[in-house]
Amino acid sequence: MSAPVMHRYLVGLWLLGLLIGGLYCGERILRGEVFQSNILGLIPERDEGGQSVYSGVTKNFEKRFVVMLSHPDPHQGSALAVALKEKLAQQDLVDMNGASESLLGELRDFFKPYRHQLLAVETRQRLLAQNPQDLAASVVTGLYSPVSGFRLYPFADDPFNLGGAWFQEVFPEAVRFRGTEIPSLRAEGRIWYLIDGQVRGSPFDLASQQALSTVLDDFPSQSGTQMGDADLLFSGVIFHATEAARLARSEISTVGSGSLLGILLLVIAVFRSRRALAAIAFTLLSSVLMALTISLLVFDRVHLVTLAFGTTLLGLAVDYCFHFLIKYRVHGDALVAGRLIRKGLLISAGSSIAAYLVQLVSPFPGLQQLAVFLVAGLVGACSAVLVLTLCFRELPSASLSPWLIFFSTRVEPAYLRLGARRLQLCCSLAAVLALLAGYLYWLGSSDDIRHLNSSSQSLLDSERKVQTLLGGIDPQRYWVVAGQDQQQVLERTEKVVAAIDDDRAPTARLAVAVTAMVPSLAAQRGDHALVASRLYGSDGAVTVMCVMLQSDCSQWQSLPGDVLDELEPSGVPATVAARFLPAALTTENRSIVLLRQGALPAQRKLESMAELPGVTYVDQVQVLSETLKSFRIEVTMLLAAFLGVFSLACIFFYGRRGSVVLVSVLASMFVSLALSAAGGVTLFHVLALLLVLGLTVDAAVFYLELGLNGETWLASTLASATSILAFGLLALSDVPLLHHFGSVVFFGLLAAWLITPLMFQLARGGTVPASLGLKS
Amino acid sequence: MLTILVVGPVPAVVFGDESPAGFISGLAQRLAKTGQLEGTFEQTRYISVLSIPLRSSGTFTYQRGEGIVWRTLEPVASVVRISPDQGVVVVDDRNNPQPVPASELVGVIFLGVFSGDFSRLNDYFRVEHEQGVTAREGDHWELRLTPLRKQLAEHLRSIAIAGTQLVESITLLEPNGDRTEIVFETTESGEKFH
Repeated sequence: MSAPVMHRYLVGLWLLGLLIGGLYCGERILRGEVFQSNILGLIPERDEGGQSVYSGVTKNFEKRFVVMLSHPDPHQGSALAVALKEKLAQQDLVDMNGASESLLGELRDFFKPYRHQLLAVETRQRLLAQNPQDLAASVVTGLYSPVSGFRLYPFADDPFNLGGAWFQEVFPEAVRFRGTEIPSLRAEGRIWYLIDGQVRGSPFDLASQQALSTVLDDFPSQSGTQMGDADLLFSGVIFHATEAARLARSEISTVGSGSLLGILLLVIAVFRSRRALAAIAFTLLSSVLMALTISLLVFDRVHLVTLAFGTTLLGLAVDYCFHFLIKYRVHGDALVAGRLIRKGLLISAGSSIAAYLVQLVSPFPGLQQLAVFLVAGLVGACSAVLVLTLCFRELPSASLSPWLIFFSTRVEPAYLRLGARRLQLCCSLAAVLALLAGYLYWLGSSDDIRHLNSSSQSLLDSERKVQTLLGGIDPQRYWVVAGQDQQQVLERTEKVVAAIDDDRAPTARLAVAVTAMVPSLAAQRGDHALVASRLYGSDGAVTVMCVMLQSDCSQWQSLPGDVLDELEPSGVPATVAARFLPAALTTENRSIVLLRQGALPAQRKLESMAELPGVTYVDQVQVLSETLKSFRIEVTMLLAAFLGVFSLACIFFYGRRGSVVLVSVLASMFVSLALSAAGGVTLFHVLALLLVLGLTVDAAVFYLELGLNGETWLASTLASATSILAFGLLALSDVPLLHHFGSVVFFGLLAAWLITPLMFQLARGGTVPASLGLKS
Repeated sequence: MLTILVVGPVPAVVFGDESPAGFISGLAQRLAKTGQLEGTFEQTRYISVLSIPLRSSGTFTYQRGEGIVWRTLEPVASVVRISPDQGVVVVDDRNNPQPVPASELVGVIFLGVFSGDFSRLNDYFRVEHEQGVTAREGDHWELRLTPLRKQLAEHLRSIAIAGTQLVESITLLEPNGDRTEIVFETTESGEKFH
């Protein structure tokens, strides 16, 4: 087979591959569920011994959502809340909470037999502290008062209202609500209507997000003037996820469009050729299709952050094409141009790919995905350029002379002048690097996971306001209590709760645990004995009360009955347990003790509780931050090792000239880190350094391979310009992770573009033309 | 939850619309003109498990915008204050207000009836005029409040408010047959200033 025929086969094969890739991606995207937006999906799963608890807490919380609506006119507010709830209930992927009446009935019926062995802490304290006369007088006063508070059971069944007090301790927020059609509460002079529910799937599923956001986005306009001065508050992971997904989509669009526009303008300005434009479009298409196809083959779903970051691939992929097109313009033959750039192209792409592949070692699923996406994209771009060398033909078009003249008259002399001051320059460079190193040491590190939050201030304010109104539970900090059996777990849980709350007033208690609803059997027996002796004993409060009420009290002679040794958390109806998170998460060998929002026990308490058997304190924020810290250290070590190996490779391949690459890389890395890590160096800054490394090597290798001349400088400038544009746009991102990456690579590329020719000049020790008036 | 409800006196008026809705609307308008009230009450609770009914008595005052003070004097002294700002509180011996949990509804009903803001009651009850002689003739009339929601109906079957020129009695019926009757005697009343 002749070479031209072979070339045609190869080109055809490549085009067929692209077609198959395009069809595969199209089919997957049309089928849906291809993209995800969970920021935690970028972070590795933890195995802290309590991971399943964490998953339980997280999953339970993350599906819930709350909308609170208030209107200056409560009737308007009520009508709007009803309308909004109806609209949300019509969504297939959303379940609205609305069965509180039947739920209360179910709870009341289930717990009724146990009402004399389930005491609120305050009730227990009163029974222990007060005499029968005071206990009876309290009930009698209540009977004559116009208000007597919440009762779970009628007076005849529970004259001392043990059930009402117990219920209020388990569900303190429930009794604050008014029994309106839509539950409502009054706060700061306004009435807030509560519309709450769960999404059926993950809140990070775009379908779930769409189900909710469609209604909420359209509701104000559909309600017309009724909305008026109405206020809406939102709380729930799904709102943050929706906002993050919108942000990511918007940034994909911005970075992608900006990069494409920049590339287009550069091509038009420099090449002024439709075929050059087509070659670049072909390279970009090959790169993106390859990246997406491989990513979708390897991963079930592609994260939106991967796509947003992946749009910078456009800037990287086009680099190789620029080198090819410029060489083609000079030599007028694609095969010759291909031969000239091939080694540089392979070394350059290889080093970038190696830098990205290092991220596969990272335990971060998001970074692994990013690495696969970018490596596949670079392979696609590199292959596309090699394919172009086989088939590219261009009609005679505008010369590159103006740009090459600009290099020889302006750029080269400037580098020569600087290169002439070799000693001063080397000393200055060493001093600057030392200063930057000192500055970076002074900056220190930042590993707080909360800094990765991309939610807007208004959404965070809304979330806080809802937590204030509803008194939410903190899903980030809790204790895991383990035991050999259910009773041991419950008894240990009671010790933890006591350690947290023993010196607190009943209204200021912090702990939320299953034992509030279902105490250990020992505690139930203790409470039952207390009730039997203090209330229903022969000289108990009931006898005194009956004297005061002049009644015979025959009704209560059989109370409290025998203690029932059968009430355990597993027996609580699932619908009831689902409304009390600690009960929902309790198993035979484990329970959790949660804290109310914003509250944190003193450090000495935390330490004392750590000594209790079977008790583990979990602080998710701290755990995740520690995870980030350990990975930052690991990746830094990895980077250092990679740099060591890379230095040896440079010396092996290029000898003394390898120092051009090394110094360029080091200078670019230090400069980029110093200019972008003002808040402290994060894991993502360090990971971005890998990209700086790869891109700087790109530039340096092409200079070494092709020499410091107008063509190489122009290709390098065009390549840098597109990447600088892409990463510069990424640096403006509101997503912290993308911002870190973008800013590091932006400054790194800028530094590499300026420094690398200078390093080449220094290494070359080139002579200075006499016309410049400087000694060499 | 709700245990007792009281209503203020209704000034004698000429009602222009005798339909149930018109009657209630007219009644509400007139109640809305009340600026302040003072009076005594006698309350009788019939609880099935107790041999004898529980009788108590005391005074009440209502000041528009500030709320109600309900003072039980016999046989056990207690003070309850209901205000738009603080809701329902029991005032203890040291004059400290103690919030009553789950009493928001009681506050809404108390203040709704005294201020004539029936629209707030409509959130919870179906308010009906018991057909009979009309207020036009200055004779007896009666309103019946029936809970709209099952949750409330489990605690309260209905409320009957009866009167002639003033509200004279109120009866609360509980689902288990227990009931509370309150009889009012207004000693002083005044319209609000405009």
